[in-house]
Amino acid sequence: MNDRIAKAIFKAKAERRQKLARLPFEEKIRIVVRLQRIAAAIRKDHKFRVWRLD
Amino acid sequence: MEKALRVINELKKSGLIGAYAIGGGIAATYYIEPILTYDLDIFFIPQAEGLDMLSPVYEELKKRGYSPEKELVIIEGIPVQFIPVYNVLVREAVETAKESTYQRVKTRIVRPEYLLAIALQTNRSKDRERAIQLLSQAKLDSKLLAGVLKEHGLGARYRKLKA
Repeated sequence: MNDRIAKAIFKAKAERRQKLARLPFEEKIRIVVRLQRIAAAIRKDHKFRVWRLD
Repeated sequence: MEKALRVINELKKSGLIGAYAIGGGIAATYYIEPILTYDLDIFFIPQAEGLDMLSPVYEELKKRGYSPEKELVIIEGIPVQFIPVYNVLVREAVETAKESTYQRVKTRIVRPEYLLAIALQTNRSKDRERAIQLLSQAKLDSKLLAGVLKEHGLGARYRKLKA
């Protein structure tokens, strides 16, 4: 039972990754910048710079 | 990133760098899910051989108001790392890069088969992780990949990764 649930969750995760991989490049770059912002808020250091998109 | 790419294309047009291609995390992001990365890695073929192939590039960028910060140059808000091709595999990766566009600006991106090979060659833990992502998410040309791995002696690492 638990194994079946885990398999379903991993399958859904893999499908989501595939979906993200198919996004247009520009959209992916916007997501990268969102990830940078999230990371910057957690790290609270200035070692890494959040990109300024055009 | 559009403006940064325009500046890089101008460096190419003015002959300060030869062919170039986006590599690293941003190139991987072109083929797989978006990943957290902070630098725009630009692999390029230098126009002159020598110990300091970056100086002419940095000097020109300084003139344009973009100053180097350690190993990076911030161009229009994007930290760019210029990396002269450092071995045969990376040179080949640049020479065979895929033509693409970002917001109508032409650019070139290292093909996924070469990104995978470079990751196997570099072989840090984050490179192996990236190689696994490329294997599971990118559309790879298996014939091209097999040839690149064989040519550069990376077959054993590839088989270990897949095991």
